[in-house]
Amino acid sequence: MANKEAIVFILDVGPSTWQTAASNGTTRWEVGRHVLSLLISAKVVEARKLDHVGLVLCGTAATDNPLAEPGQYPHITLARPLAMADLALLQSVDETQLEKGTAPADCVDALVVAIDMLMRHCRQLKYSKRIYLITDAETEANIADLDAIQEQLQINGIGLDIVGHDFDAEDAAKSATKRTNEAVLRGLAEEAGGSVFTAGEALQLLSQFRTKRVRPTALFRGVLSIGDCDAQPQASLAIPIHAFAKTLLVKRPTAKKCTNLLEASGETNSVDVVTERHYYLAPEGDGAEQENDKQAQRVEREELEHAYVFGRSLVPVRRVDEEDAARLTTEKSMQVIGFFASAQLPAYFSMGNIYQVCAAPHVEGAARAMSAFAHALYEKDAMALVRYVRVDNASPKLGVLWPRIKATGVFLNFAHVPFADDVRHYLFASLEHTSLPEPTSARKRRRMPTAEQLTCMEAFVDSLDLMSGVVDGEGEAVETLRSRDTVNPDYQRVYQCIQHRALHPSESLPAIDPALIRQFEPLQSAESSHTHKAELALEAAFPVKKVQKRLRQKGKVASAVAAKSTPAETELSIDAILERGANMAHPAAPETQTDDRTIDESPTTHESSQAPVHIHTEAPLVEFHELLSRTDRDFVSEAVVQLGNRIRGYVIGQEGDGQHALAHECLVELRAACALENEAAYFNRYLHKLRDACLGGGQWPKRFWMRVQAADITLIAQTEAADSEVTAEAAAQFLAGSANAGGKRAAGDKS
Amino acid sequence: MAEPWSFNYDEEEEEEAALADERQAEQPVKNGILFVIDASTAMREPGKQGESPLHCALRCAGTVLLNKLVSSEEDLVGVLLYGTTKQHNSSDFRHIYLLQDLDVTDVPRVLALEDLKTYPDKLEHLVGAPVDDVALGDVLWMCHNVPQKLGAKRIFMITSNDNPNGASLALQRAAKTRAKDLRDLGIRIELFPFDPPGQHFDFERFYKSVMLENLCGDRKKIQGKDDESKDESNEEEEEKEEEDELAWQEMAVSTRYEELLTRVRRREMKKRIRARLPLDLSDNLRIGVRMYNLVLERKKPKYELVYMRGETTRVAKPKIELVAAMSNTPVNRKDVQYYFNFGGVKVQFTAEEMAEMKDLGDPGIRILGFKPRSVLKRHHNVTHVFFLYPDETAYEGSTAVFTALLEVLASKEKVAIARYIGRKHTGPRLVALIPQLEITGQDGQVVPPGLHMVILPFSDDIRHIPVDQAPQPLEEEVDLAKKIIGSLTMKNGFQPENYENPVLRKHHEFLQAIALERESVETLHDSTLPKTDTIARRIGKLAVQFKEMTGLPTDSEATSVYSTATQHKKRKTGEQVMDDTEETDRRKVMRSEISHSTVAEMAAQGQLNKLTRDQLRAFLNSIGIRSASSAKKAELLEAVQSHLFTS
Repeated sequence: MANKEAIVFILDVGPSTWQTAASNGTTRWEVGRHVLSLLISAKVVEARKLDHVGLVLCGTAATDNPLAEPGQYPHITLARPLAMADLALLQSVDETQLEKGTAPADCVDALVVAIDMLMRHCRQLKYSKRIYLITDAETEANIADLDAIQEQLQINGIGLDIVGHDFDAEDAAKSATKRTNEAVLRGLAEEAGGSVFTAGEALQLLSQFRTKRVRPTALFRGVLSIGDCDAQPQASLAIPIHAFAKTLLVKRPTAKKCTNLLEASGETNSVDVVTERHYYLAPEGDGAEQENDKQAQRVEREELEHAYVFGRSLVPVRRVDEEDAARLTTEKSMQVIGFFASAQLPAYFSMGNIYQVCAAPHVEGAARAMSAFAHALYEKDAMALVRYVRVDNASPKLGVLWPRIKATGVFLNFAHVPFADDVRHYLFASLEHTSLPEPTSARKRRRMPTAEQLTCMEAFVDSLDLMSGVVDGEGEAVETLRSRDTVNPDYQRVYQCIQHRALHPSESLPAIDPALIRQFEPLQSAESSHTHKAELALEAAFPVKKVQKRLRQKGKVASAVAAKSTPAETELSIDAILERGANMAHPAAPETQTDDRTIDESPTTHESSQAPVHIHTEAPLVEFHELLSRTDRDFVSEAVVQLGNRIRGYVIGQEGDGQHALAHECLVELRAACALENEAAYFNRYLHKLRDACLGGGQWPKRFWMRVQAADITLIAQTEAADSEVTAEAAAQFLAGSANAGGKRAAGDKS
Repeated sequence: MAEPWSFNYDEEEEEEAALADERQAEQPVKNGILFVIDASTAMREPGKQGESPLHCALRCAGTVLLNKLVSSEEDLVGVLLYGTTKQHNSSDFRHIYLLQDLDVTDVPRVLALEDLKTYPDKLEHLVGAPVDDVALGDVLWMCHNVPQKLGAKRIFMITSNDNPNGASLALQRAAKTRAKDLRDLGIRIELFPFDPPGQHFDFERFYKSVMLENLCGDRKKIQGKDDESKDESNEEEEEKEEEDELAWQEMAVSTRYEELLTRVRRREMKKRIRARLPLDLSDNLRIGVRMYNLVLERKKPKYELVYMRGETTRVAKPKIELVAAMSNTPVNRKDVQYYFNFGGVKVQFTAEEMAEMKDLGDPGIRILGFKPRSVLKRHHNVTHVFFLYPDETAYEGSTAVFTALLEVLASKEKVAIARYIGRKHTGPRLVALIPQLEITGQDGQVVPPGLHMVILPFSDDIRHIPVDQAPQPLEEEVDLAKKIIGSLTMKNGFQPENYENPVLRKHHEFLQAIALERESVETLHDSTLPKTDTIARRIGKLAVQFKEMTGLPTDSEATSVYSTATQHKKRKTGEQVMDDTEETDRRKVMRSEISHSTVAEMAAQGQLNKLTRDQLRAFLNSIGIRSASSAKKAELLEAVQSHLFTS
């Protein structure tokens, strides 16, 4: 394929095109214009520098072309010389811009002008040349030089495609001129190896989504070797190969940044914005110095070395070393490690895009050797494991090769497979019936599908068969949702928006083309259909309930965010990093706490006037967690005080144990929250007071305290929370002590 | 930087977020593992292989420690012994010896443990003679002291006593209470038992009720409560229960070091959830799934940037700034517009419009239908494969639906075709869900049950590669090739564990050498290199015949020249510009700036084209003109030319 391409479009805009209605109700002029704009926009999207397009209009009021002499080639305008397709060209065929011609013109004349353009532009250079002629062929053509034209097309290798308005109409409906012209044009196109489309066909073809063409270039030209070809040339094999990317994710085009803000400074256009990364040294020493030394020292990227985490220390590796001593030296190669049965490779071992490995062209024996190996692998149903190094000193990759034998050619496919390091041996609880012992079977049963459920699922799977769900025009079942029939909606969407914005700068984004979304919609099933019934049965068979997200979770995220925003982590010196591990074992020291809280304190004194939240008696824990997870400010202290008061309210001065279970649950939560949120000191004081109140409060509160003892809810020890002053032993003895000694405080309690 | 909750679209951030997903999977959060090792009499008696269980356990802890160090994982590891005469712990409990506190590992700690396992006498000297029947409750009490901020907090308990404190019901009850406390604090106990001397480790006696307590007992209580509180505790509970099940499923007694190490390593790797997504089977049936990477390329560990030219080595942090090209004026992020070049025009969009353009639906997986497994081909692949497992914590009842789907697909040999949207602002992909039934082996689970999710290519992603018409091979040629394949067949297929990534190995060994201040790096054993001697021995004669028959060149010259020729040629042309600098210096030259006069001279001769992109950028940089790192060479050339023209 030649690398350069030159295309001339000829559009007939003569009176017959806009005065005659096309079959679908619009004018031929409009249809032709639409076809042309699709052809041009494809070229603009591709934006290939070496692809040039030109435009000739036929039937214009004026005459403007290089061949024009009085009486020669009238009413033909060279609208656009051959150049890269750009927005101006696309705009020129917009309905408001494009001329409605007033003089009929000979489309064969236009063809000659186009050939002339191509020949002048391309000279003897290697271009692939093509002409698209869009016409209704209603104007009488001069066919005297037909043979010469045909010869020109053939000698110069110019392809000709014709889009003819209403070429598919009944002959009787066509004018005599049109019939003659159509025959002439069909003859020309056939000789030039082109096609004739009706306008309708052309529109349908062009409206399909297309992506930028990619010319295949080999990723690897080398040999596929078995054995060591250098050391043992006899006892080894080397098959010359070329490898290409067979699949590759097409990325959405990325936008560049610019700003219009600097227009005032005299610039008329927007100015590009670039992202720069600057590197700053963290100030040395501790926090006090940081205050004074806010001007961090800036360094260049080139002056920095990489340092890897190695246990608690950072190990700097100099760049020279990294590129030399620490680097694995490898040689460009694709070496066979061994062969194995295809069935032994699990589906999930494929790690990347697929390459196609072909025999190198024009190398003696390569094609035969490749063919023999591909057939042998196919017959043995085997694969080859290979070590692949793209170029010298590239990282080696593991891959497998398997054969593809098609009518068009024989080759191997290559897929990356994992190293030992890449495989994560994650373990998951079994989903089968057997693995758990008896006591848990109730739980297990809840999770195992019943026989009826399985039957429903089976019916559902059968009813949504993509091999037979859709029937084509001939009544044959067709496979739907094949890779080759689907396009990347992301990519198409971006270009849809770009083109729309380019042509209509003041409008907002267009709605997404429904055809893009429709690709991925489930097949529409009628209310009464088999599929629909199966779906309903399935939905009924499985009760599934959305789990309400825990509110606590939010609080954790919020506090994590808060923790991140502290500057400490970003401004560590090396020494500080070395110390990092040591610090981690000890959570940050608690902030000094106000000591004025007592169990009787009214919660209202702490409330935020902005968004008051009380912990009510009805659902204390929900509200408690809500408070803890508030991000607008720290509600933790208030939350624990409030919950403490609620618990007290449930127990002290109450008759009966009606609310003891709730109080118990709240106390457990309160303790956990205090341990977590640096409120251990508060909890320990609270528990003392609660104990005293219980033991001095009559029969029911006393019973509650026994419950607390039985449940082993004791003081928060130092071992649990760093802000506690209570030793583990003291905490352990606290409950025991209280049983004997009433209100006496346990040793070690300092509050 | 943008606040995480405010709306602030940025193209780069979008892409980085996508990358971060991969990176996160690569760099797990810090986890903590505390080895709690029984050092009582039974554990010190030599086992079948002559090595005592205690010794096995210490070796195992040492190996885990070393692995953490080498792979740059920042997990915390600690080692606690119980059943010792001497005591060493913060609470002064008797018979408990905290050998190494829970901490990031470092070289001295690895060496210290290595020392102990090499010289058993030293251990005896350090911790004293064995003491039996230490209160397990006390031991577990010591385990409370785990920093809260860790990801997964686990205790690896290694013991041969299947009935600790068997004589005292009170002590056993205390131990169970402590175990439950730990569980409530989010600390898991994983048991790695050895058989007691002359007996079998009996799970029923004690540990079963500890391990499975929540599966059997508490569950009912929770269900008895009102709905609201049940939902609150549900999520964590469900996950804990799933882990409990798994622990029970994996439970097995070790007899040797290798067995113990295998089991510990299997449990040591903490599962990293890539995403939690809804999976829709129909318009009204939605379940939750968790997505994992079972296979993902492991890259070199992350690094910090340090400045070593000052008196002390200091860490440098990057700050990202937006500036206008050419003028270097700082630009506020909110004044930035986005544009694409289209037909020679800059087509602009606002950040909001960019976000709208990319919004093609909410994250999730929607099943569209089913196809026979055979329709899905191996070459329908573009990236690595994901793994799906039901998520009961998002939708109660997910497991039953998922399991039914899995079993039906497996028995019918079908795959599901679905639409997958990974994140907001990433478009839909077509995926195939392949059923994977659980596979178990001697050491427990080999492949977990679930669905493999293969991202399918779109037509845009498939390239047409023209292939030359291939000659139909002769039968003898094919037979010969089959013999060659047969003689090099690996019986057990491809086993990834046999092939370690040599680049990572080299990197680790290099780091280790620097850190331990060793002189040189030992020569690396690259397990991925083919065993060429064996191959030569096996295919020697066949290869000669095959070459004769197919007409492949028989001498190495022809092929080796062919294999490297193109590559060398390319490099030559690149080097001519830079005189004949040595290969190693080439990179430096590329980086270094080209003087103004050189550039001007080259421009005058029309040779600017010969400069590399990097050189052009460096030059522009040196004269104070900023250019995007993604700028094309043509753009850079233009900038250089316009500069030379105006100056």
